Amino acid sequence: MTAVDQVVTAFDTAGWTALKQQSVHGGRSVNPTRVDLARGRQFLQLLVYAWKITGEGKGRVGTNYRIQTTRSHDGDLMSESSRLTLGFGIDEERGVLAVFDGWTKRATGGSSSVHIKRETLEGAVDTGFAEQAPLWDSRAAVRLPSVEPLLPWIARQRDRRRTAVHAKELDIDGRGARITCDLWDAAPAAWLRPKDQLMITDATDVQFVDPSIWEVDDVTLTVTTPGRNARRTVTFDCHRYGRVHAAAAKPLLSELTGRARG
Amino acid sequence: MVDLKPYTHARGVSLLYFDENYAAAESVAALNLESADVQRITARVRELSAAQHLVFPDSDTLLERCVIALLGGHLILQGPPGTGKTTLAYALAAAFDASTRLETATADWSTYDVIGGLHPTSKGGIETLEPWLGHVPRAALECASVVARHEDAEEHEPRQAHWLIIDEFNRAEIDKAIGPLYTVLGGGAADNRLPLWFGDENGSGTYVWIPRRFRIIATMNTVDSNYVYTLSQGLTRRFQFIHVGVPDAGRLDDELTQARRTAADWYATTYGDGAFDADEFVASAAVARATDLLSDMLATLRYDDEAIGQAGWPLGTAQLVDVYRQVALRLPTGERDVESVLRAVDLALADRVIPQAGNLTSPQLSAIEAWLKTAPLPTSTLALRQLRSASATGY
Repeated sequence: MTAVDQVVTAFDTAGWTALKQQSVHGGRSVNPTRVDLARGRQFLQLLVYAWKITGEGKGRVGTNYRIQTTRSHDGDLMSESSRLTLGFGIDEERGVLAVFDGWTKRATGGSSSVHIKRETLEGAVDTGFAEQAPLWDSRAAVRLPSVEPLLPWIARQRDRRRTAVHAKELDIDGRGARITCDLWDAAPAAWLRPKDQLMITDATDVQFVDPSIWEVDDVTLTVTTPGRNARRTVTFDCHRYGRVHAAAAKPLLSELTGRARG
Repeated sequence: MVDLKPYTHARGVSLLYFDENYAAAESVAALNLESADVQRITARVRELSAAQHLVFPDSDTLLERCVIALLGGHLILQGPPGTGKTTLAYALAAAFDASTRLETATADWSTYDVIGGLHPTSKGGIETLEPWLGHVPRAALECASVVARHEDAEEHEPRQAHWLIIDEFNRAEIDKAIGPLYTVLGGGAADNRLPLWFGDENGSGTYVWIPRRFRIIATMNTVDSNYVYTLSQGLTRRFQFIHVGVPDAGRLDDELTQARRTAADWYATTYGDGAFDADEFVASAAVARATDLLSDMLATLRYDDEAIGQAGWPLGTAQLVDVYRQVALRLPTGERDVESVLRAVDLALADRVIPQAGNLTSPQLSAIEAWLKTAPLPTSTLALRQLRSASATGY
């Protein structure tokens, strides 16, 4: 049984029927697999990647775990317009299923890792569900056999995302802007998709560089330094969605950068 | 997700789009149209109408009345088909620097179409009901967005508003469909909010602001009686009604010239591959002979005969354009002799114009029949006979 089969079985146990389970690349390769799930009038269209969770590699702290995102294709994790890309990690020892947003982690390199904290996995064992901050790189875990507590987290991935990022380059032209961010220096940038929104902060997140709230029209990912740990930038073509006035700048900045939540 | 609503509510954030926060449109709802310069706006409509080759009866007065109506509120253009009501609606909006959205009414329209409601959707696999905005609140929110961007210097938005054009308004059961709009269509109130019965859990969908710059221009066909719903007194108070009739008899030459030009331009743009000469088509002597025939038809049939109390057949300019288009399609190039052009006109009248005589009274049909006897139009004569026969027998 493949890891994707195990994920589908977990949903099956919760009353979902797999209407479709089709490997994108065919053969024995399962990462990724298109999975359509239905339960009554509920319907989920997913692009599923699934792996086993393993311990951290040599030199890492021993309290974390990882999902080694080896895949059957070159390049970034895939996404399809009508499907939500989810990466699953199976922790057989604890009977826990971990999940991360495939879009955010699309640029993690050909065979890098998504890290899961031990406390997240154990939180799922204790309470049935646990979520790991930050919001813009959320990972969640659920205790099997029930995937039910995971559904609100999955639903939330469809919501419009709004965050603040540092811009490497900012080119404002009237109502539009082209904003380029270095993913090493502005990690929340990987979270954003078309129709999501961002604001530009200075390097220390102390103030907004520009008072505009920008809505993303298009996203382009570029490798600036190739290699095993390639360095990448993401460029957003945007239009102005709104403006923040001075009185609101500080509290909004605090919320967008996550500091308001402590 | 960080919610902007508390910030917009406290005026700490100004939005330029209101898709997820209807209430924030209040910030621009109270702004009135920028100018009431009737002369300037009327001149602009005249210019735009001329560019579209539109010919109206008593044009200057008609356009000025429309401009005055829109400065005060919403407008219904009513009249026979083909008189340029929809094109005029676009020209009016453009003259006011307003973008537009056109919706065509149908007999099925309900408050769900016009105001909105909840529709089932799947969000991440979880079935939910989401608010869906109908034509009017959607256009009003777009209007608020255009106003907000127009007011923001960096946005360089040249339009000052966004308006809704409702075509074939008479096809909808209007009181049923837009009854809940009566209060907000009154206009002018400081608190011009359209309440929605379908709010979302955050309360963002409980009402939509109707900006003071928002207008509805509706068109109504007064001839197509199969689809005419009666308007209540309440509704008639909320719109200004302006009749757009057929051009005056004294302007037939001008009207037919404009119709030829429109048809020739259409053919050149749509199918012309360089071989079609639009100017030559317009000036062609053979086409001129057909024009004489059409002019005689209009002079004889179109206008009311007050002496005998008989209503005319209000053929619009659009029908004439249709005839010329068919002539261009049949005879785009080569020998365009009088006989072949008249034959093309005969077929065009039979296929495009005579079928529109179905709603006419028996005396009106007899008048057409009498005129056809004077013209070399055998196919049109046959088409009319078949129409009358079908009306009499039901098949």
